[in-house]
Amino acid sequence: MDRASVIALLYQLADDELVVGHRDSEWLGLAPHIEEDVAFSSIAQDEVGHATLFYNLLADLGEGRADDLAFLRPAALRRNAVLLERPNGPGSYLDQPQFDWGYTIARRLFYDVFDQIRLEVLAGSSYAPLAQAAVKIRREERYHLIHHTTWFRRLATGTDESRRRLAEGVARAWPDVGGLFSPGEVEPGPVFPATPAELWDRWVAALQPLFAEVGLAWPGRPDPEGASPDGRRGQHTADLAELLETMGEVYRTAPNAAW
Amino acid sequence: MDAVRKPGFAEQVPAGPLGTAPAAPAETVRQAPGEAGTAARSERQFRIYEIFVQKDHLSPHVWVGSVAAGGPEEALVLAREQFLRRDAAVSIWAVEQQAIHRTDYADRDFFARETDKRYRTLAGYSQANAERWRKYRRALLDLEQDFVRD
Repeated sequence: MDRASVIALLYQLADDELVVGHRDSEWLGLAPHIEEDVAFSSIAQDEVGHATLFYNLLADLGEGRADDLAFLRPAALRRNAVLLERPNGPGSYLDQPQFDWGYTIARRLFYDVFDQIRLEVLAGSSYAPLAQAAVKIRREERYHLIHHTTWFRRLATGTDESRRRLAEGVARAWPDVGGLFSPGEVEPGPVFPATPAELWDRWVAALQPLFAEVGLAWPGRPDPEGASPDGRRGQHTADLAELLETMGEVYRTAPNAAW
Repeated sequence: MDAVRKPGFAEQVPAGPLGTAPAAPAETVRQAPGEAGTAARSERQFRIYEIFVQKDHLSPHVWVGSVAAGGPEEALVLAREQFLRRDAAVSIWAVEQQAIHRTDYADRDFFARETDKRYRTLAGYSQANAERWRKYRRALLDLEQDFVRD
């Protein structure tokens, strides 16, 4: 077993889910309507639950306590894609939030399709605990994908305003999409039996028909030399530092407390 | 959270001699983008869906409440999170509230039960008939009486 690749992969998975779960949770009380608020918060909790699973696998491999890995590691050690750490919009919950639902749905859908493909690949991983976790998580993620695809279709085929704002969200999310596929420190091999090119092809094959169905222009391949930092190699934005500051604030006051 | 709206509330229509009038027609379906729009197109157009949940394959679907949604797929997706956060289930039905026909609460005569209808109940069976059947079965199987002749 290529231990270094397994650990690197688990950090990518865990950090991805934790960061996107936190960004989703920031929509609490601010989602378009109340039933969507409940559903979206539920999905955020699911993502953090998945992150917990992965951090526990890391703890089993001797990386430390799962809670410490989640809350105490600095931004430079995180391996999530930069797409997921971007803020939902200007402001914060306590200070004039003007979050962008079109961007959120676009970002969530792009990540969900990518995650679905990644979990399918991992179901065939040679590292058994990861393969088992992937099978379980994929069943839950299927609902997330249905949920966000429904929203994507509704916004794209709704009113002129919803269509415009979704298109703007897609455009804003697109430069960061390439960062999802960066391999980071993971070598393709029995632990992760797919190359970034294969993942990209499957992702495009899943999303391009959806864009065509709702009549949105396909933005084409993101510029590989694009300005977006590579989160999978520890290059992050100031937004992540702020996110970790907020997320870990309570935990850091007493890391050894029993909650 | 006000996610539970019982069908029939605040939608009473006065009963005529032939019964209640049908409810108002549903709001228009959302239009495709690009069509010439009016001011109404920028408003959200939600329908109310009544949600029925079947908790396992041997149980019936039970009404649990309602959700406001733009279409049936969204209603099902939202209903899962509104009503099944804690309980397991195997099926959800979403029925447009406008598709549900209802009686008028004010129309008491519709439910009048003035005469004695005890003939429809099972009362009295255990005293009369059940006793007799037990006696006949005992009599059938009484070997000493019927088969042993000495």
